[in-house]
Amino acid sequence: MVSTRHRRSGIVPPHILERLAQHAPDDIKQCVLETQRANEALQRMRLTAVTALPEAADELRRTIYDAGHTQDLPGRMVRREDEAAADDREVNEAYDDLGRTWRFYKEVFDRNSIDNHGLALDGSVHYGRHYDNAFWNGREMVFGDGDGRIFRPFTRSLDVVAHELTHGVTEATAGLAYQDQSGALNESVSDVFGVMTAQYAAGQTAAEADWLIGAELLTDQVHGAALRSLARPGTAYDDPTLGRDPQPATMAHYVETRQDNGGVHINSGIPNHAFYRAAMAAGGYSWETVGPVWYATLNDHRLTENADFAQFAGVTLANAREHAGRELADIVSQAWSDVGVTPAEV
Amino acid sequence: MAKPGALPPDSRFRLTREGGLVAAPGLMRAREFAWGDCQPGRQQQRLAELVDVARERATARPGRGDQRFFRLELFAGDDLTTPTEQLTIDETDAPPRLVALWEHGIPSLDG
Repeated sequence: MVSTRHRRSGIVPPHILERLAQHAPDDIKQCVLETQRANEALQRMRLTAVTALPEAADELRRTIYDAGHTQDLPGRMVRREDEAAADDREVNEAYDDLGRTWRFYKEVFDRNSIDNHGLALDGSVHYGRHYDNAFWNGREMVFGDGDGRIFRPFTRSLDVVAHELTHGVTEATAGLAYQDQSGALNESVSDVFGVMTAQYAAGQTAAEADWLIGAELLTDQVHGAALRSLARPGTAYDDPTLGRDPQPATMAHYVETRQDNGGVHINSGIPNHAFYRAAMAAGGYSWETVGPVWYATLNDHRLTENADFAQFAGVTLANAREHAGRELADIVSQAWSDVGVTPAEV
Repeated sequence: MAKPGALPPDSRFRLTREGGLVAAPGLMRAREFAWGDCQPGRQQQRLAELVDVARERATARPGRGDQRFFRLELFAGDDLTTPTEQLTIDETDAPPRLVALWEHGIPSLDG
């Protein structure tokens, strides 16, 4: 809410005008009174204008750019909101899946885009040459086309598009630092909301879902099913080029490493698996059961930027108790216990 | 201005590309080499210059939001367990010669 209490209407401060109105000669007093009336009228106009301002745009606003196989961002604008489909599969996939992700956040959590204030969604496709990656750069989502041998274009998977958009949501909420356990939580949150977005779009229950990230990205030449599996971390691929999926499912196999910012894409398997176990135990649709608990955690001031797994678990448990009842709290507690994380008191 | 002698003659190097949405171990493709593997003259000159540029562009917090980054580790002698210096450079800030070194190895220093 915009505060107007101390807003100054003119260059002369109100308290000086007040003093002049009481003590100055009559001709000055008249000028001062007119100035005060003008200022008050101006203030009324401003208040009316402020009141009349629309709330943050509660509508989807997408813009897709074509980076033209360069690494110059954002590239050439190729499709804006409400424009007809382009003659370019990756442009349309990015456009459609950013829309699905926006609707997921809006319809399930009443979140208005990345910043909850209607931030426009920008995405760039055809980034770089044979580029095997997708990322969030703090301003937009960027998608490579893949090399064609191992990876298909990174716009193929809705859960990947949602994963990248969720990095923006995490920055706008918990701000989990991208290092060690807080970094692994940052990655896990993107995976969790990525799979939930895909499940919501497909109308799948937890039991019906594949719980995979990026299943559509791998070519037939790769020995693997996806980039990551929340159901069975460490089993997504085992391939001569990619190597073996290094994700642990439990703290007993936590990986201490300098690489990858302390293994943020590796140890995320642990909180990923906790979410999976809780969602499966709860049954039904993940976005109706444990999804709201994870979302409340992301927005909870008790979660700090440098949170470790124990703190995150503690905040999920607190939210389950406070908002979802004992049965779900017990399910969440058991899920963290299953992966070897003891929730901290928060 | 970098000089070939700016790095100790027993220096060894490990260069990896890390991070990214995939972050698969096979994609890091660690490249290890020694100062002595580079020919005196142009190759060593360019390697020394490259290390200087990497130092200028290094960031302590690379890779957020699945952005890839390069890690250049410098070692003294045969001890490859504890680097004497490590530099992490966001892919978007990486000099092309560093990318080429990671992709093609020492011969890229001639290009």
